[in-house]
Amino acid sequence: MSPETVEASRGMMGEFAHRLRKNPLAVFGFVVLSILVLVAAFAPLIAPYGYSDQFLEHAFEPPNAKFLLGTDEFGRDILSRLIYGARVSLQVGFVAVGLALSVGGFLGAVAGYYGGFCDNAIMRCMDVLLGIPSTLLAIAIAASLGPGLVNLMISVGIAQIPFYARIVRGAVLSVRGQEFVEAARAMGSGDLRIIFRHIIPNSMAPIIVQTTLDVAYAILSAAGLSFIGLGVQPPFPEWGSMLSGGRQYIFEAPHMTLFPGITIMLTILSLNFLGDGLRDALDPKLRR
Amino acid sequence: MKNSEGKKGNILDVRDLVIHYELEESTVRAVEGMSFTLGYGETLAFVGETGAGKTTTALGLMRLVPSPPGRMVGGEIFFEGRDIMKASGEELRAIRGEKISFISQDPMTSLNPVMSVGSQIAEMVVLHSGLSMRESRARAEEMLSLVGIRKERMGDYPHQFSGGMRQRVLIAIALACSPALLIADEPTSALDVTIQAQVLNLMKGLKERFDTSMIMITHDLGIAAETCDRVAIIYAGRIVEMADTESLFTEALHPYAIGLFNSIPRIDDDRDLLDALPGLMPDPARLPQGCPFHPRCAHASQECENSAPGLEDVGNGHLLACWLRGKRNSEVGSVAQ
Amino acid sequence: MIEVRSLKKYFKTKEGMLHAVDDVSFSVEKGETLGLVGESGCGKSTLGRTMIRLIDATSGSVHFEGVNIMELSKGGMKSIRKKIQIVFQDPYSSLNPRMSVKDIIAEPLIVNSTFARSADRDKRVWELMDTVGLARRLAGAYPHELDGGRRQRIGIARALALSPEFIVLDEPVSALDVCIQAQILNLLKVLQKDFGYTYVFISHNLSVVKHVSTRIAVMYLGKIVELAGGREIFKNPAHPYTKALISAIPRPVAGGRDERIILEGDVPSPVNPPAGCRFAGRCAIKTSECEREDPELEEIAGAGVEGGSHFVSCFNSGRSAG
Repeated sequence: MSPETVEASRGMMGEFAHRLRKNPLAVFGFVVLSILVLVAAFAPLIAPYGYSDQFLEHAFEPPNAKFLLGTDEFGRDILSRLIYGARVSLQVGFVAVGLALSVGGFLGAVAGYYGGFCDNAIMRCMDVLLGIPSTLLAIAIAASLGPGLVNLMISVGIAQIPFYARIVRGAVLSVRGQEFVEAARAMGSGDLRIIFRHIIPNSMAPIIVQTTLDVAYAILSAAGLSFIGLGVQPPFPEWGSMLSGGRQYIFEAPHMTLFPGITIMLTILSLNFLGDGLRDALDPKLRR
Repeated sequence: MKNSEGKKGNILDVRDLVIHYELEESTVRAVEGMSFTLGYGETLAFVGETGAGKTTTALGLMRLVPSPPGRMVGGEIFFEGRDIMKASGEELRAIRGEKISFISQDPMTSLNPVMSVGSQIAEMVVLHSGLSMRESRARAEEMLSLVGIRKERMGDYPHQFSGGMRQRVLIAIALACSPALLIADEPTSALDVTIQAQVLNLMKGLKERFDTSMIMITHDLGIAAETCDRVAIIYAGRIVEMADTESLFTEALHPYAIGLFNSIPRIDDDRDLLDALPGLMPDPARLPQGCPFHPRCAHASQECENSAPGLEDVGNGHLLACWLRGKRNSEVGSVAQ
Repeated sequence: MIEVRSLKKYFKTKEGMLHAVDDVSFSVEKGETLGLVGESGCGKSTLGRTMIRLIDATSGSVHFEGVNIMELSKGGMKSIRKKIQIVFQDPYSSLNPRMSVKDIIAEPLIVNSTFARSADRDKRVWELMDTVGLARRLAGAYPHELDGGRRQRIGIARALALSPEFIVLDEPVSALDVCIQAQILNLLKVLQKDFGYTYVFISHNLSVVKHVSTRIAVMYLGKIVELAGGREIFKNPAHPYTKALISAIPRPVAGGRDERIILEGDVPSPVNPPAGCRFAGRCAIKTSECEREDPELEEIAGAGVEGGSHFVSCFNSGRSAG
C-alpha cells in the first residue's frame, strides 16, 4: 500500500460505516430499528390514543380510518398499544442484554485473561447454567421472582449470561496471544490497562454482533414469558401479551394477533439483518 | 519416461501475458505483459519481492487465477505447442497435475489433514494414469522412497510429519505422474536452512531423474543461483531482466537487479551499511507512467518517465528492459561492483 | 552489562517437559550486538523473552547492570522495563490494530507517565517518528494501512520511546522483503551508532546475523553450542552444527558451490531431550562419548581469535568434520 492510500483513507469508523452502507439489508435493519426507537421514545406524542383508553362500543373492530390497526376486546386501539409496547420490548431487549453482557462479559474476560484455576472455576459454573435450556431457566427465574417488568428483564438477562461469558472469553483468548499484548507488557503496562486498552477494543467485533442478535432473542423470550403470563402485567401493553390476548379471538378478530406478530417479526428480522451486516463490516479479513 | 528425449525447442512459450484483479474500486495490474520461454529440461527462476506478480504468473500458466476477481486479460501461453488460453475445462484438467504440477509454499495447508499421505499420492496417480488403486499405491510407495520417506509411513497423516517431511510429500505428489513441467512456488521458504538444503538437493536430483522442466519461484537470490539455469528478475508484474545464471550473477544490468544484489547481507562481505534501495515497490493498482521502476531509480531520465522499455536482447541472450542499456558499463555497471 | 547465568525455561506439555532453554549462560557487553542464531524451535525467541522477564524463567539468573532482574518485585521490574525493550518479529500482530500510529508510539510514554504535559509527549512522538524515518503525516494512520517496513519502524519507535539501553530484536526483519530488510537493518545500525544501544539480535538468517553482530551465539535445541566473534565464527567454525548451518546458506554467486554439508534428518523434539549431546543424532563426527555425556560450553584455547574468546560445546571440535 502506498502512502497515498493512507491519506485517502476514511479512518476506522468511516471505513466501517462505508462498508455497512453497502449492505442494503443492514441499512434496512438499521432504519427500522431507528424508527422503532424514535417511536418508543415519543410514544405519547405519536400514539393516537392512550394504551388503556377503552372504547367499548368499538370492541373487535377490524382496521378502519378511526383505528388504523383495529381494536381489541376492550375496544383499545391496537396501534397505540403497539407503540407503547415498543417501549417495553426495546427496554427489555436492551436492558436484559446489557445485563448479560456486563456480567457475562466481565466473567469471560477474567476467565480468558487470567486462565488457569480462575478460568476453570468460572467456566464450569457457566457450563452448569448452559446445561439448562435458557427459556426454561428464564421461566424458572421469572416464576420465582414473580411477574413484572424488572423481574422480566432480570430473568431474561441471567439466562443469557453464560453465552456472553463464552464469547468474551473466546475473543479475549484469541487476542491475548497476540504480540501487541506482549509488547504492552514489555513497556510496563498493568493488567487493567492491557485489558481495557488492548484486549477489549480488539474483541469487540464478535461481541457487538452477538449483542444485536441477542436483543432479538431477548425480545422474543420476553414476549414468550408475557405470553404465558410471567411478564408485564395488564393493562400495560407488551407485544407478547398482546399476542396471547388475541389468541382466543383468532378466528373472529385475526388482526389482534396479526399486527403484534408482524411487529415482533419485523423487529427481530431487522436486528438480525443489522447483526449480519455488522459482522461483515467488522471482519478485518474483508478489509481491502 | 524421459520427457525431453529427442525434443528440442521450448516446452513453454508465453507471450505478453496480462492478468488483472478487478476489485470494486480499482484494478490491480498483477501481471503486465510477461513474455518468456522455457526450454525442455530447463530450470527458470522467477525472482522478485512480495507482490511482484510471481505467483499470479505461475497460477496463470495453469489458468488457475481465482476468478473473480482475477481476469486473464490477454496474451498467449503455448505449452507443448498447445494454446492454454484457448483450452477447454476438460483439457485443462487433463493438463493440470499430469503435465504441469504445482508445489506451493505452505507445506502445512497444502495437504488434506484427514487423508493418509499414501492415499493422497495414490489419488493423484489414479486420477491421471488410469492405473488401478493397487498399482497406484505401489507407485505411491515408490515415490515416497524416492523423496526419502520410509514406505512404512504410507498410512501416516500429515500432522505426524515435520515441515520438511511434508514438503517432501508434496514433491512426491507433484512428481507422481512424471509431469513435463513443475512449478515450485517458494517451496522452501517455510523451512529452516538445513532442511531447505535437504529439500533443494532432493528437488535437483529428482528433476534430473524425471527430466522435468521447472519454474522455481523464490525471493532468495541464493536459491536461484544454486538451483536454476536461467533467472528472470520480476518487478511490478514485468520481467525486467532475464539471463542465464552465470551471466546474471556476474553482471546484473538492471538498476533494480543491482539494487537487489546490493541490499542482501552476505556472509562473505564486511560492509557496514547495506545499499538499500529507497522507497517501495509501487502499488500494482496505481503503477506509475513509463518504466515502473523509475521513481526509485537513481539513473532515471525523462525517457524513463514517458514510456516503459521493452525486454530486449543486449547480447548472448541476456534480456533487459531498461532505457539505459547503451551506457550500462560506464554508469550503472559501476554500481554493481 | 547483561550477565545471563544457567538460565532455564521448561514448559509443561502433555508429552513431558519441553526444554525450550536449557542451562544457558552468556554475557552481553555495553554497545555490542550479540547475534542469536538457530533454527525454528531451538529456543532463541524464548531465550530472548525470558532474559527480559516477559516470561518467567524456570531457574537461573539475569543480572542487568548488577541487579538480578529475576528477583525484582513488580514495582522494581516496572522501573527497569524502561531500560529494556523488545522489537517483535511480526509487524502485523505486534501492533494494536485499533490504535493509530501516534497512539502506539505514545503508549509507553503514557504507561510510564514520562511527561506531565501532553504537548511534551507529542513532541517526543514527533522526534521518535523522525528518528525512525516515519513521515509525520502518517501519525493518524492505522497499522493495517501501512506496509510491513513502516510497521516495523513503528515497532522500533515504540521500543525507543523510553530511551532504553538494551533492546532485544526478535527476528525484526524476517517478515520483510529484501529491500525493506536492508532499510531496517541500516536503520538499526545507525541508531546503535547514534545512541549507543546494546542489542541482542535474534534471527534464523545467518547472513543477516553476520551483518549486524559483534559476536554470535549459535543455538541448537535450547543450548548454545558455539559462541564467538562474528568473523571468527564464519572463518573457523568449530561445532559441526555451525559448519553445517553455514554451509547450508544458498549463496547468490554464479555457479553456487559444489561442496556442502547436508545434515540428515530433522531437529529432534525438545520434549524430554535425550541424554548426551543434543546434536549427536545428526552429527557426522560423533563418538560414543557424545551419546553418554553432554559437552560443556568451553573456551577453545589459543584459537586465532578475532573479537574475543571462542567457545564451543563439542568433544570432538578439534577434529575435522571430514
